[in-house]
Amino acid sequence: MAIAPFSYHDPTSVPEALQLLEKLDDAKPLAGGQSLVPYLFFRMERHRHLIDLNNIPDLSYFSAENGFLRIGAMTRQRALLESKLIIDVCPIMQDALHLIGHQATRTRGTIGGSLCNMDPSAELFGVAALHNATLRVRSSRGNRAIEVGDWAETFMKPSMARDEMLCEVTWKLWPKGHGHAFQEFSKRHHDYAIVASGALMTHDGDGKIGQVSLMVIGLSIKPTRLTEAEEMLQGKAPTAELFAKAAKTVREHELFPDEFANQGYPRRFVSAQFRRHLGEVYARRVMEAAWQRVVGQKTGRPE
Amino acid sequence: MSTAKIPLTKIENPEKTRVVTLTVNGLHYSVETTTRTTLASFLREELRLTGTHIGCAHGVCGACTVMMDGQSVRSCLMFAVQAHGHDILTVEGLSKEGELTPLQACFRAHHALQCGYCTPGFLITLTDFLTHNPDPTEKEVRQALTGNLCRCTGYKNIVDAALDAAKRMRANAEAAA
Repeated sequence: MAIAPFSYHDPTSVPEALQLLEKLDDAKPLAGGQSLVPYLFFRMERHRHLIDLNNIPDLSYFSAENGFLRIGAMTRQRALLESKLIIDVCPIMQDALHLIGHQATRTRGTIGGSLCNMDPSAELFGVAALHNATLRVRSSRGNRAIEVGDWAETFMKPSMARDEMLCEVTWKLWPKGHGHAFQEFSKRHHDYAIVASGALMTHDGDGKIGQVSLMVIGLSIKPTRLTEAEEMLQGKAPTAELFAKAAKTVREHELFPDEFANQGYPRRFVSAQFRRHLGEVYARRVMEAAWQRVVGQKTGRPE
Repeated sequence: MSTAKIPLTKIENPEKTRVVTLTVNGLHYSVETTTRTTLASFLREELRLTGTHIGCAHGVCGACTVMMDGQSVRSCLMFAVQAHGHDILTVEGLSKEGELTPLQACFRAHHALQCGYCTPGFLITLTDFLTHNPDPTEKEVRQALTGNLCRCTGYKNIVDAALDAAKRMRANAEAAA
């Protein structure tokens, strides 16, 4: 089995990559390749030019400064997973990264590649959505920041022009000791998620929920932020009933447009009704788990 | 022992063909290959290191797993040119001077292989995993192995071998300390 012939380019700087992207017809940036290379093998995709970004050290970094997390697009999933800094400042990333692919795919897989591939099951897009991330894209024409809510153009296609490239993702960090949970349902551990849900939560110091962020992936082409549920929880004393009621709002959300509803594994095998059901169940579970973690940290109890 | 090949004549179209210079199992190679050749095919066909197996050729089965700079990667999901300047370890490079590593010895002792096709991938995955997690639980071993498929053993013996190898490696480390 061989990939259809392509021309290979290996720029060593971002400007060089952007120039190639602008100049070449039908050029595709190659990040970790853990999805793109199989697509090329299956001939689901075919490109005249591949621009390999793996030799651009400037795209591989992460830092937490002034309350913001900044991650270079070519930062490996494994580097994030093994980072003490990330565990410390953004622990939900760990929960999500553990669920992505396998040890060997995380060695190569990058955060930017995942965001640009935009698989509806992708955990990192969900994490970015929870944090209202900003995605910084560049082209020879200039730089632009895209809010995560505007990132999706259509099924598996981000709203970038042909000559643009994602260079950095950044988001505001939540206060230290916030509650977090990320859980997913898949047929086997590490399979593509059928549905996943994530929650971030703070304690207002008075037994009530402070700030809260909730999302579900697997319902639509992009992560679904549960804004109504967030409003229901803010400033309330949490109870099992309240979480159950908030989770029910999952059912109100838009699902995959019909033309994409059955595209790709695992959507092909899972009815919309079941996905909604799972969304509700997992949303409730992560709300409870995130709150447990806040409370656990408040009282200094181990989890 | 094989010797490193000499770079071939100068390359006419670097977008299609490159000379890849890399280290595999401690030996240096410089070999011309097409840019669309995967690392897995390169190892097998250009370097004749056929211990690395290709199962699915699209990143699902894990049979082609090799180590690049000390971390396991799918060699079928990388192009050989992307390994240029890097250090690769394949299953052939695990044992030193014909002596099995503790992990390999445990695979033998626990009957952790039958047809053996998947074994190189399992060995590399577990070598990477046990280096970073010398005292894993059974659950952690099973999670680490989700990226490797075996159609013969039912995994039980592989997990047993991994846990036993971890134990032996810890004992070795203690004895050395």
